[in-house]
Amino acid sequence: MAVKSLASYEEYLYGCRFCPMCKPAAEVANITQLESHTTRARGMLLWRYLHDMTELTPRAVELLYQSTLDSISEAWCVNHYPVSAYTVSARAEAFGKGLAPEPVLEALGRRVPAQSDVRGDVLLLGSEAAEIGEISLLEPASRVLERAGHSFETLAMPSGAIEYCLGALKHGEERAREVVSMIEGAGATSIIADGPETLWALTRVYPLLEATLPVHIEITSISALLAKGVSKVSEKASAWKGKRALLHDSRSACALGERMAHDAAIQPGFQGPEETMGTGEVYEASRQVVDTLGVQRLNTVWTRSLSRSCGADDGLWLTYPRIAEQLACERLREAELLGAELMITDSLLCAWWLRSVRKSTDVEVCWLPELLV
Amino acid sequence: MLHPLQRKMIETELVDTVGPEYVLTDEADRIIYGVDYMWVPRMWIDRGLTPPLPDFVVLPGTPEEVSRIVKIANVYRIPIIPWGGGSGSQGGIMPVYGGITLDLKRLSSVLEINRDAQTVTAQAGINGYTLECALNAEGYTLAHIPASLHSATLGGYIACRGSGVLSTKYGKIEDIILSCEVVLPEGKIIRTLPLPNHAAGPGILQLFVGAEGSFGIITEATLRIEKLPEERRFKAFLFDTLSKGFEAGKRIMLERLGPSLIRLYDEGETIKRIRKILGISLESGSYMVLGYDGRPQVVEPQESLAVGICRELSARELSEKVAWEWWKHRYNFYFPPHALDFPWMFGTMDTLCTFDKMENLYWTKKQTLEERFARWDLEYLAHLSHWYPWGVMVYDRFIVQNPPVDAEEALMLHNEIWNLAVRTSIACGGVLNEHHGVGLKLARLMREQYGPAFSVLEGLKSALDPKNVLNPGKMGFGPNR
Repeated sequence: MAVKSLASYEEYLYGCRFCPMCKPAAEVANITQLESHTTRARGMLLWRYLHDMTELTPRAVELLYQSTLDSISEAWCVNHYPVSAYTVSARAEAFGKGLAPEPVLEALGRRVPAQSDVRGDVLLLGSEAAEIGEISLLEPASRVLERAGHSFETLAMPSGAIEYCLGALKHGEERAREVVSMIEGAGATSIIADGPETLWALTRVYPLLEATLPVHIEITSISALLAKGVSKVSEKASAWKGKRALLHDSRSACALGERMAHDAAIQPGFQGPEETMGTGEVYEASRQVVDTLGVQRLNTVWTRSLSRSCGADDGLWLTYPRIAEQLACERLREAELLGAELMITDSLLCAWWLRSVRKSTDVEVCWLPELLV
Repeated sequence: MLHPLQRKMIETELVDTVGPEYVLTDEADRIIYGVDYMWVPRMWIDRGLTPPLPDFVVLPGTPEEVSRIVKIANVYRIPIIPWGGGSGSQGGIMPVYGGITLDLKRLSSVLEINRDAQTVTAQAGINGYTLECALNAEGYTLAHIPASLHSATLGGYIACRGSGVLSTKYGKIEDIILSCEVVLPEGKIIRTLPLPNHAAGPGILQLFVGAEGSFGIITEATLRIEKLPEERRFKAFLFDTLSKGFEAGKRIMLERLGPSLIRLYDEGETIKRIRKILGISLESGSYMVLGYDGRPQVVEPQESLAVGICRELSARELSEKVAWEWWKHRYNFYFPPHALDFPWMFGTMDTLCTFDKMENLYWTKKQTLEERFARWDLEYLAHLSHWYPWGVMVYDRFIVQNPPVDAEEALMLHNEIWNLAVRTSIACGGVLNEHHGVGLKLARLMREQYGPAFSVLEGLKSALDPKNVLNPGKMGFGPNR
């Protein structure tokens, strides 16, 4: 399996090039208000490029990168056109032609923590922590997992997901092979991913980059483990009971979901079951933990596959941090308007990013394991 | 054409007004502002051509900034084209003479929901879906729910005199609006009277409703809102013929039975679209959805009487599920691959007439267009979807599945079809358009529609906008001066 060429998505670009229906789901365009940031504009640009009607000019490429992979538009589209996949292919095309903008090249050249060899049957793979550059951020997760009776070693290294998102497929493949090699060298049979982006990289991106882990290695996430053992470790967590919380799902979670939003969700004022906005273990695990703790979950249509990006998705926080900051501020503002006291996410990266821009709001941000510490 | 030097001079002033990040000059940004949902600019792109583009795209953040930009446009006598959601179907946003496209989406706040007066005041650039959700969260609805809800803006609703799917009960946007704030063509900011129904002269509110930005740029509006209905009901029927369905709809309206919706499809649309989309077995007939909104004690007897009329006209009642299926999935028709798209040529020629003229208008138009364009195998389809106590809107469409490949040839055929369609409507007692507006598409036909009365519009335009900087080339007005 490999990343498909942009040309193979012609049919979908043809459909998207004039379609304005996913505008309410536009993450970046709804912040900048630029029409050129919409999925329609991107569809038109790429379709015209495929038909030699336009060049990938510096500004065109910049527009292509001033976005997440836009899986939310894909989820909103009643026919779920593969927006995310064609965005990766388009970036790969631009990157392959040496047209990547400076912020993308800078992101690819970032320093990442060196990792010494580890050995262990079970590894906590801290790729989100490694991207942030603060391994200590994994501590709450380590403590909770230990209390739940899990023994493991920590391996903190970038997964290659960001390189993949930026269309730097060779870079992504190199990172992925390094991770696979470390895991194999450690003699691990089980991996615990520190967040959805790490889990997505291991299970969905690596096969595309042809850097697959051996089949005997079991892969799970912290939230899935916590969901299974939450009752064992929740006795000290009564402080959260009754708190009003908004659950934030990352865009990687959407990529891991089993089913995207049903078309009923795009009706204005929709107030149906949350599952209408997407289903999958990736969503259920964190909800199970939160529900067990007695946290009061707030309802919104912008959840699960329709969860809007907080900016810490798909490398945007590294390439265009100002846009990513605006996204985070907007998510916090929305949480506040809904009456949330807490914003909870299973993504370490999202929690860290939301916290880093949290200024004029009383909404507290929690990474899921922190609820149990 | 602006000389590059002069372009930079103007850009300097625009940047000075709104800041550099809100002035776009790169073609990669401007191309999307050259296209709305009209077939022609889309076709132009489909054929590998570039439609007319604005010289600048500017995103003002306040009405005062709008005013300053309008003044700059007047100084340099360059056009200024308001942009909302880019979902219009008439080319109203096409910058045919270049100039400044004014994207109003930064003006997107709900300023007040007044529960006492049951009104909302919001800025013009707010997205329709966003506004409706904000109202729904408070237990209200704008009750203006067009197909373009997810893309259109409040300003676009008003500027194009739009209709929502429930307009039969709640009215069109011109009935829902109470007042608005407008930046006039020379930059003055005004507010219309707080109420639409008064005897303080003829009133100026409706001068801006449907003017497509030719008389002023709407920046804010106050509108009536409704409580969310306690109950929403739909029933579906199949009539033997369109004529019988029409008779039922007419009687329901004349007897003032207050439906929220009567949507009656002709046989062509029933067989070709409804059957396919709803997945139900229909071999012939005319499909109708009848809707009711409100308190059960009120809608129950009204609905019962309306259903009685349908039965008297031998309508076959379909399951309610079928009716609800239509409501729940009505937006799906607009997503690819279901939405009308290339390589077809298509257009919606919605018109409006009194009840006595409807059948003649429908059949004459169908026959005239299908005969005249038989060579192109033109297909004429229609449904009747916005009803009044005196008449009905005919939402008719044409489809040509194999139009010319050459862009200019295709454009000429397109215009020829439209000319004949609109002239036939007018000759049969209809009007140019019911709710999509005029734009570039129908501009040339405005003088025929109004006759000598067009001089009133021209006089107003000259007085308000002597340099004709606001959206030139639309509504039958010429280029900027």
